[in-house]
Amino acid sequence: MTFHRALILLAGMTLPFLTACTTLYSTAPVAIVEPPQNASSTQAPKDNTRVNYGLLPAQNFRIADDVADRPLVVRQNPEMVTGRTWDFGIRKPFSDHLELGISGFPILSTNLSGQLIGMAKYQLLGNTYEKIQQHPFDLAIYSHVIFTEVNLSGNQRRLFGEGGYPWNAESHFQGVSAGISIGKTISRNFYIYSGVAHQQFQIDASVNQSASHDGDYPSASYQIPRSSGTSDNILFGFSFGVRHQINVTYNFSKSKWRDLTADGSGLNVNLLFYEFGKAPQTVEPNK
Amino acid sequence: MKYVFLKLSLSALIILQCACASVTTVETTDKDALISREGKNDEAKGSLGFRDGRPFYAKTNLIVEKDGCQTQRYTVYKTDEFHPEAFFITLFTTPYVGLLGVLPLLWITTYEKKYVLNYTCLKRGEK
Repeated sequence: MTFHRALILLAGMTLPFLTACTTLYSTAPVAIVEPPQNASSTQAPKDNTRVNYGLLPAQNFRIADDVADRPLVVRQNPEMVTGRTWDFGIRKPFSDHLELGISGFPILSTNLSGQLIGMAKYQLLGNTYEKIQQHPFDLAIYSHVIFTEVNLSGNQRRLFGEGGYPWNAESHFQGVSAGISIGKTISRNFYIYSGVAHQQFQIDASVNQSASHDGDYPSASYQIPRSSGTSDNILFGFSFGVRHQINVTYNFSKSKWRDLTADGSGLNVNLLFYEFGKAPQTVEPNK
Repeated sequence: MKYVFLKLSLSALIILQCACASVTTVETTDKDALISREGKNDEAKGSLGFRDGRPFYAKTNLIVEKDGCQTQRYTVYKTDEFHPEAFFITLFTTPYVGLLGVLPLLWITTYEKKYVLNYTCLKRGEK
């Protein structure tokens, strides 16, 4: 594999990287499924903040092909595809049952763009730190709020066109999701789980084109009205490790927006690091 | 045959980094007990640190002794913890060195950083 193919492979994991810089889009994770055990109930350090980094199944909405184009042509048939987006954040247990988290990632190649995800998870059934192995399985409910903003700007008349035609464009995604998951501890460092989640979201966008420097085009402002959609996700996976965990999952998602439907499925990898504490394993003598 | 030296160097670096990363410490709950590794010369009182470059399937047998008490044996396994460094090295070097880049997966699990050996002095002949 060549260096460039490797780069493209990595970049392809996040859809915005492959989008032209004058394409107006919005991107966000589909309904997120959480492992049911929260940080305080695993055998890792109690009350410990953990850092997570990985890939989330995502949906990408293509709203306009070329926002520099004058006059602007908004897509009559917008596109929606599924893919992956990066996720980086922290999560902290607040009791044996409640875990809160915040995560996000800047969207590269645009200015001041990114996504922000807030998470709350409540573990209804399952092991707590004090009462390990007291339940045959773990059960948790969780909710996420997701905000994504994409900002674009330039001074061309069209993609790769001449300068002197300043413009800016932005899109907003707001979503809220809820779900439930179930899991089982197989051994101290191996855990399997599965869950479902449902998401409701809204998308809106705007494009502002200033008057051209030589006066051949007047200023114009375009509003893409708010539209709603839903996504559903089902996920199966396992996690391995105690202080450092790797989550490997496979998901099936269905997103609906306007009259479009997009199905997605694929492998996701997520890493969790307990970096702020030490929980030495106690070893019993051999029999 | 292009970049042979570079590929060999990178491969050596991969193996070296993965092998060197497996450092762990074992402690006993009785600080006066002597810990040693079976088949090795190192021993220490109360706490012992050691380095193990073997791949993920390795295990280490530990012996804890104290005057007047029974000798007790413990085993720690290299499959106890996920090793993120090996994962990242694989991810970023495979495009350069091809299949050689997956070698670090042999170190994808490792010892935990610290173990506590639960040692209670049982007098000789006591069960």
